[in-house]
Amino acid sequence: MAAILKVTDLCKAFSNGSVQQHVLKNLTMNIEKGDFTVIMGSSGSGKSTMLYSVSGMDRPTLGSIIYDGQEISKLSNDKLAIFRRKNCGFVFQQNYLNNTMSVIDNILVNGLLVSKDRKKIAARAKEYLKKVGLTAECYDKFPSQLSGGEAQRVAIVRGLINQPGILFADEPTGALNSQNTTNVLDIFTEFNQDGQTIVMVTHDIRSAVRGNRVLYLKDGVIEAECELGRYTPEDTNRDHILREFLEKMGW
Amino acid sequence: MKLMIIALSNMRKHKSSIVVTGILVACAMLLLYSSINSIGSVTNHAADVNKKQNAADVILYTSYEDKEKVFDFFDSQEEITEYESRGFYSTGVKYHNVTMDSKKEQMEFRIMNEKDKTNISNFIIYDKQKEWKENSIILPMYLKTGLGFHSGDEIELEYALATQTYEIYGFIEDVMFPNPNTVGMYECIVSSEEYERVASYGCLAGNAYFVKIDEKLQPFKYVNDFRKNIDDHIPGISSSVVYYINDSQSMCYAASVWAYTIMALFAVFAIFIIVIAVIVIRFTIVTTLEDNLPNIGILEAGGYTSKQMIFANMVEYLSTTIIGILLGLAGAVGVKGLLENIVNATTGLKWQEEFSPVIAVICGIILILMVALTIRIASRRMKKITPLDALRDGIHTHNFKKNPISLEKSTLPLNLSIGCKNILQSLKQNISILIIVCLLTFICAVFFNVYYNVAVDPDGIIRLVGIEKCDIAYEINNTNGMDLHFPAEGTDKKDADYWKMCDRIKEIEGVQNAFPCGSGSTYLTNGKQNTQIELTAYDDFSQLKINTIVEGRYPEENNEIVLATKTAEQLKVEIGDVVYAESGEKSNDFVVVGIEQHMYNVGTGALVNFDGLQKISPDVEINNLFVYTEEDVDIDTIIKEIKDAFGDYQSNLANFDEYFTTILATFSSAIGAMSLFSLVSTMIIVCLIIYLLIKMKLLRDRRMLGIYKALGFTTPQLVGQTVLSYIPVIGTGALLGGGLAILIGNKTVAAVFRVISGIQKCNFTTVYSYIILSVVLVIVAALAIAVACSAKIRKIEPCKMIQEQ
Repeated sequence: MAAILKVTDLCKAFSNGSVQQHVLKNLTMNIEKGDFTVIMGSSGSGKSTMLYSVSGMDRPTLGSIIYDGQEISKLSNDKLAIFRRKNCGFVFQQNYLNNTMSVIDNILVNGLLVSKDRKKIAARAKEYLKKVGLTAECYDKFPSQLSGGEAQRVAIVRGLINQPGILFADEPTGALNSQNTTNVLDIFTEFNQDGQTIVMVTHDIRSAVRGNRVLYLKDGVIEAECELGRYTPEDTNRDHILREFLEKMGW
Repeated sequence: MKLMIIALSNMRKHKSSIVVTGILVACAMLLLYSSINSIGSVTNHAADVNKKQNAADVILYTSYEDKEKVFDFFDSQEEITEYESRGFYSTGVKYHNVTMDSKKEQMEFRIMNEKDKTNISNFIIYDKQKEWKENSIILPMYLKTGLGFHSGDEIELEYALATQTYEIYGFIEDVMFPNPNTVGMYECIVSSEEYERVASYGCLAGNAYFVKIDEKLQPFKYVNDFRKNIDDHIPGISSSVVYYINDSQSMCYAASVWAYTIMALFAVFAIFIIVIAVIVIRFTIVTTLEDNLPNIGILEAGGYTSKQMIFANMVEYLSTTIIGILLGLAGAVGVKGLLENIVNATTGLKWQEEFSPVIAVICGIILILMVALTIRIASRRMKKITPLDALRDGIHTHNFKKNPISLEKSTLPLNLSIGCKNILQSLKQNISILIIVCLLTFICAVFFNVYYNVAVDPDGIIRLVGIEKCDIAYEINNTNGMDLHFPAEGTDKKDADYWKMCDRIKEIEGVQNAFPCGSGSTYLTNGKQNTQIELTAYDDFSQLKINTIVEGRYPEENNEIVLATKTAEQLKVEIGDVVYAESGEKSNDFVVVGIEQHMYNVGTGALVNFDGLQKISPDVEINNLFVYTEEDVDIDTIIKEIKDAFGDYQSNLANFDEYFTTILATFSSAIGAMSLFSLVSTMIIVCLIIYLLIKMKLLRDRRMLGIYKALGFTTPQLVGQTVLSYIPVIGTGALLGGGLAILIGNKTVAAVFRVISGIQKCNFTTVYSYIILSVVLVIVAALAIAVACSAKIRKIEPCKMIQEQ
């Protein structure tokens, strides 16, 4: 399959006065269309930094990021914002829904950035909300009226509403309980099986096994990769394979 | 001490809102203190001047020649305890300051003899030159404070029959003739040598009488009796060419009325600023509370009570308020000189503002109480929050029922929809802002409209003042056997000498029309109330250019009268009622056929036709002619031709435009200054509101803005949303204010003038361009600040916002 995202020699450094911290060092990787790529690593390894750099949310210090043939590493902030709205979806550890807007409006505020066809976007939002298990009763509720799991599901729909090329998820289950974690992961699996490309940062093995490959980040570089293949609930071996891999990495 | 630490920490965190609050409090204190301190002080100063000069309680200026009769009258009045008299010459003069090369202005002058001193109403001279010369002149203080003349300047006076140059020796403060807005004449003093020569310059001689009354009586009440009694005692005196009576108490008020108006405006703006400060403080506290909840939770979990937290808020804002008050006070002391100049320029007095600790303390207490009350109310929410709620980022007290402007159903573009959502979600606050901006813009637009009608195209104010707008006012001082009395019964009215003069003047090329105007004075009563008023009479009212009738019509018969609004109010009469004009022993009844309005004589007076005037004052002389010229004719040339035609008659010929311009000059400057002040204040206040609101919004919503950036909103889009959250409110407020100015601006002006002088209707030209300009300037200023403040959104980095969690 063709690579939708090509990252070459990606470097990211932060400076604080005279002190420089190199977080990513000549990182190279490709994301194929339809992949479910999981990024793991110990705390401070640069996982989130890498996610934000390749998604166009942060500008790299050096390196090349080509998304679908377009070099994005040198784009201005506003052009990056336009790139993101069309091509990327985001799900964060906190849902970051706007408390003053209803569920449907929280999704539409993202959807209407790309398309002016209100009816089409609203219909898609409702279809996705149904898919993630939220009924019509929720549409006019406000985030503070939802449980943590429900709010995160709304955030996922918000991330997917524009049918992005890649959905970037940063610890999407980090603030959820076990049941809600499973619900969210099932949603990711379902959308990936429908062709959605997903890149997810996690430190949770239960989440990581859902991916078809796991990249292990250590000291700003991709140390190793573990191929798991497409997830199926019956595949009980992948957990074992992943654990062995992580043990080898010293996780 | 520990609460002080909390307060200081909060202040450091919200420096900008603290600074803005401090500025607002300082401005409010400056305006409030200055206005309250000045209002009382100016009247006290006028009273002090009167005391220093041993001012007369009642003054009488008249060209009536028989002084002994007047003294007899004074002797017959037991209320009068003391009196003196002094001669004067009265004349219309064109003057200009040669040293300053100022333009020529027209004014009525009363000239007195330096040697002719009295104990009552003596003169105190300021800025005296070293040497008194034969050509020295002492002028009213108004020419110094209002027009910038200096001692030592050369001034040229163009009399009817001569032109003289004088050197200004000094200036006198006189509450009775303080400025041309109050009484349209200047009183000046020349050397005795020059005084003797003035007689030959074409001036009218007269005597000024200064009267002191029993201390128990109030001059402003007594003066009405004085007018009636002197008219009864000396029939015909009120028909003198020069006849002017006034009292010191009324003049104390009249001298200061424009200063009061300016101070009242300051007080109004002070109130606006206090209201805005209260809104700002409330908004800041509520936002800070939401922003600071985890910290509050930690403190409360550690044992601090909500009362202590509220007290910390009090410390934070009250210390800011006290600093603001002190700064405001310092500012008031700093602008003291400017304030004195403004007040003295309009009053013609030499007032100096004195610091009043009592007023300073009262103003300070008012501000502190308002701020404390605001904090108390705004901080109530703190009592409802438990430590756990606070640590969990608070109760999101969102009204779950409302989702204004649903994005699913709205047809507006996305950014506009979000902007409108934000407006509706802070509806109460936005309504307050809308009202404030509406009122400020209204005041601003009304002032600009008034300015146009006073300074740019003064026809409006001329109509309001009510003086007939001729081109040349010809006042005849009969000295050559001409008979200016009404013709004898049975003779043709038009045979009267004054009509023949009019016919002769009409023959001059460039003259369109000329007709006489009669005046007199009478005592009007409805049987219960009574009042002394000045009468004005015309033979044919249809020839007048200025229509001052507000109800009914002009008199047509000899028993019809039109009353000025204030006179009608005093007598409690309406159209159709009967009033009695008493002159000496005679009483004539008149039917009220109309009500008219004017500003001179504090809105009192009456109109009759010539036949009516003849009934009341058969011996009156008709010595005023109004001359109207054609367009584009040189007035001074016509004046010269009239002088040549009637050179034998001593007279005052005034270019009315120049005379009126002089009277209006200070008024125009004051209105211009107030217009500019109100515009600048409005723009500053609106900009401060926007600055603070957006600053608070960026603080409160910075994480959400970062998330929106992450999701794909560009900086211009987010700036647009933020601007759209406030500018429609400001814009609507400004437009409403402008609209109100168009609809009720004139009524508002009439209401203000009604208090001063009985004006019922104001027909100022509504200058749409001026009003639109006021509205546009307010909106543009707000927009500029909104965009500038919102541009800080550019610095929000989505990654940092996410990683901050």
